[in-house]
Amino acid sequence: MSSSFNYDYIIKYIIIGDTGVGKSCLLLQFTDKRFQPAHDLTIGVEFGARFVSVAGKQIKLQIWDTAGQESFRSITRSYYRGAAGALLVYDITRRDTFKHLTTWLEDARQHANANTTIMLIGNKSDLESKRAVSYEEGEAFAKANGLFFMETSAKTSANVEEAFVETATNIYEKIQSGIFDIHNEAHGIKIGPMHTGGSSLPTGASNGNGACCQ
Amino acid sequence: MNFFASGLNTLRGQKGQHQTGSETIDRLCDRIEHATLLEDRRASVLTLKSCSREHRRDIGAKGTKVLCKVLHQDNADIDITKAVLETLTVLCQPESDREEAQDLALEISKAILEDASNVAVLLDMLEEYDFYVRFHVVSLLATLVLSNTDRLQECILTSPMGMSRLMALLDDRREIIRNEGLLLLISLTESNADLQKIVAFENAFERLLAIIDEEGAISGGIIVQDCLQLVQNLLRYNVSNQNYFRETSCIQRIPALFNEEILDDNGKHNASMKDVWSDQKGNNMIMVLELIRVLVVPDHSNTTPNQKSMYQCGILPLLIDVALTSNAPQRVKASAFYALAELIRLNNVNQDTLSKTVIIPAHPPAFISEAHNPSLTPPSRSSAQLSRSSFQSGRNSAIGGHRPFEQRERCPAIVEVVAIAVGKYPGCTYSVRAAATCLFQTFVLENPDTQMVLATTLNPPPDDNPNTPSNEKPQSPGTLLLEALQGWQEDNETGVTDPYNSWFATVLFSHILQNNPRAKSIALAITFGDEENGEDPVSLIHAITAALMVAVKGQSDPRVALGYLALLCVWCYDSPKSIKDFLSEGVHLQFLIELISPSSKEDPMVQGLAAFLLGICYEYNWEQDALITRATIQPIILSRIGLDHFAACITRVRESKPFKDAVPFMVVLPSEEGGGRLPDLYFDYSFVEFLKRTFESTQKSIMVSPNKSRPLAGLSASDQAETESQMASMQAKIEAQNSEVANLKSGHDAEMANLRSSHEVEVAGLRTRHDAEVADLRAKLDEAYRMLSQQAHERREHEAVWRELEGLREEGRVRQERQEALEKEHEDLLICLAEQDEELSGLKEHILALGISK
Repeated sequence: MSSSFNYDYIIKYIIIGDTGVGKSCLLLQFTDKRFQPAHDLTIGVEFGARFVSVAGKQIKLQIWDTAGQESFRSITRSYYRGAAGALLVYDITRRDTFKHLTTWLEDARQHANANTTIMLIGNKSDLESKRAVSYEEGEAFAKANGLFFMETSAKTSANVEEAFVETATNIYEKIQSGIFDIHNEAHGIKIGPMHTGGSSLPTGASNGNGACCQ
Repeated sequence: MNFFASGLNTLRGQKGQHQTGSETIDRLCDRIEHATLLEDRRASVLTLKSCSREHRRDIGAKGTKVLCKVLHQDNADIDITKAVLETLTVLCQPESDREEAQDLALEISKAILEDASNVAVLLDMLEEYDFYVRFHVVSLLATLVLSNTDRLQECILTSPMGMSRLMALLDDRREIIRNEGLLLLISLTESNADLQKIVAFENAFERLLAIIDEEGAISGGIIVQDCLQLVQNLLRYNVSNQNYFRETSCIQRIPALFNEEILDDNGKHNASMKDVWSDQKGNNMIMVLELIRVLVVPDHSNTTPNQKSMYQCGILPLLIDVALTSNAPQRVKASAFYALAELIRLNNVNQDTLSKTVIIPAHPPAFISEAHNPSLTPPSRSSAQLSRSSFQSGRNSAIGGHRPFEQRERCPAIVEVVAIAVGKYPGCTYSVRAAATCLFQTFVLENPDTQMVLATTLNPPPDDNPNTPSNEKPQSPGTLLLEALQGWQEDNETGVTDPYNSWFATVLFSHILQNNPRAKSIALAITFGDEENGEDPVSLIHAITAALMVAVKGQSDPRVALGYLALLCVWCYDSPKSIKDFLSEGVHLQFLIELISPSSKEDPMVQGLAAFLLGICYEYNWEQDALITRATIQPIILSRIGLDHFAACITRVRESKPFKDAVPFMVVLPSEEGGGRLPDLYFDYSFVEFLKRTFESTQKSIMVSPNKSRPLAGLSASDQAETESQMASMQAKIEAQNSEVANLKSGHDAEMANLRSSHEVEVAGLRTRHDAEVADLRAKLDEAYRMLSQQAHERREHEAVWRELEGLREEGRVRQERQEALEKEHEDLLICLAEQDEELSGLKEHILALGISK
């Protein structure tokens, strides 16, 4: 049997934020561990996947990287609802991308599931000399809106892994405490076939025909 | 009931006066828009609905906007909503096929779609559970997608929840709604990549595979086919979704689609239904096979990983089962052959798996003789007795020799593939045979070892192998090919001649020989005829040429000759030895020349290939002791045929329609055959490519002088192969030697180490002794140095004294010289004085004399 079967949970993420803040580069750094300085503009939505380990559980992250351009906004909104995690990205060297966060956040609050974990990411932390948004400002915004916060660099890979894993950890805690309805796939979580189950959790069927395998 | 009464009143007019339809509709629309009571509005809508079929144009023009407005305002009321939805659906469906009706429907649907919020409100209504509301919304959307796909897609994309609501239709327990929803999703995802991705994001693959499971996989109804169609829409041309499909382990779920566990009423397995193929099951299976093909498209970056995944989860044996051992209809088998072909293409592991597979083949399909047409009856063959005997001696055709309901013998899968391709079973359609040929082609593609193995099977397996008590004659791919190569001649059982019997065999044979010098030399060594019975052995290449000559002289279908000629071209290309054998019978050259000559009446395509073959026979005729040399052929081409005509022949075949129509994956559409028709299959695509690639250099080579020695760069492939095999053996030798050297070296190293350690002790001893000696010597040496330096010092003193002495001596010499010079001067002066004295005395005497005389 292929190793790709062996997961405890699948969690869906989306990455949102203004165009050019480095969303695709963050995904590429996370999935392929490389940096591509001249990345093509994302058209619509692209897909990437990777395993992470949280509290000893194998978690498969399915990540949808969205286009930041205004013209694709209507398409990308369709992806909010089915995601359990959202990475909201701005560019610390461009103040306008920070200013637009409010709009993005409104969008997310309107279309996403209320329990979706949102991680605010100030990207391009390697460009300290061009910084236009201070760390404290980012942190304050996150605090005011109940978001997690991190500064990352898709170029040097600083904090990239941490951003994805910390989001996953938070979602996993929510699963454990029963906040997420894991049997409703619209919440962006799916239980793996080999999932042995937390003591309190009923395990769902993976083959979709309603049988129980506990 | 008052809404009904009021509706009737409206129609009648208040005072019973006659009203035109148009006026009524005006009034109704006005009421719908402005009436304050919901009941009034509802009544008007119902009335409008009741006459919507008769007054499409009027209602469409005046009512569309009004009705849409009702959807926004009154959607809390189920009755009015249902009525509006129904009316709009009727209006958007063209009444007939007439252009006028079509245009009207299109216009109305455009009017609805103009405002994207109308679509948004429709999608919101899907939150409603009521059956009719959901059903009519889906019907209306399905109608709209037919008339105006692009705009509807756009509108749905602007609604963030739209797609997930549509996807929720798949979870509806009421089958009608689920099925209608499925059809709607199929239409929506046909062309729009963004929608495809969103649908995939909404877990479409999961949900669809679950529905397929529930419905009984391939044994299920048309709903399974629809689900598979949607899966295919999402994957075809969408790389992102293909990645997603693989990443979410969906490939591993494909084998389950082949399950046909049919439960009877008691919930027990009903084994008797297994391998019984309804039309629907056939359709479902073809969709599954198409799905597999979408994932392994040739030369796609996803193909290699997908081939690997499919191998790992056991799809290959499932496909072999469908293609070779099941009773599936032929259209399904053809599809399975193509799927297999793409699954093993350029993948050694998968190719090997196929070559190792042994199967119990299914019974061949029954032969239906009524499909034959009088035009296929054997041609008169008065002059056709030529050399048949040698080819057939000792080989009774096994064509069609099967009795049904008898367990068939186990055989390698590839043998059955060849048997189907070459037409061993007269009941097989051309579609299946073309598909099997295609599989065979990818089986040997870039796989020289397989080519070699197949070439060696041209020698028949032993007839009486004691280990396999067999009713059937033992078969190998090679013997099947040899049998079929003369199969265009009359079939013993059916009395029908099929040009494709030999044609497919020539294609298969070409694939075995193509670019493989070693396979060619094996084929060259094959001979027929029993010397013990006094027959002259005939080589295979001669037997094929003889069959070609019979076909041409017997004026049989041009496909027969084209097949043989194409095979000979591939065989002789870049193979001087084959050319030598081919031309060793003088009549062969004569025959080619007659075919090509301007006065020939032969089919232009046959002429073209004959010219190409002759060109190859000149270009690669490098054997030293050949009977017919380049020097013989060149003047024939240049003078008897003429270079222009020669080139024209090749051009004609290149420009012929069948040549241009050849496609990479050999396909015969079901519409191309049946009713005794033959498909338009004249050339194999790989031959077409081969000719296009090489004809130019062959054509140019005619102008090169026959005496010119063989170009170095053009070292023929056969020689290369020889060199290669030599090199391989040498390499093996070198490797053996290398390992020996390595062995010796390690032994040597150990010895060295040993020696070194003992040495070191000795050396240390020596060194101490040596050191002492050295110190001693050094002391002596120092002493000597000191003495030496003292001596040197003394010598330096001596030298100084010497130099001083020398200086003095020099000084003495200078003084002496000076003294001598002075002395000489003194002497001169004395002489001078003496002379003056003499002169003085002379003068004195003169004066005296003068004085005396005075």
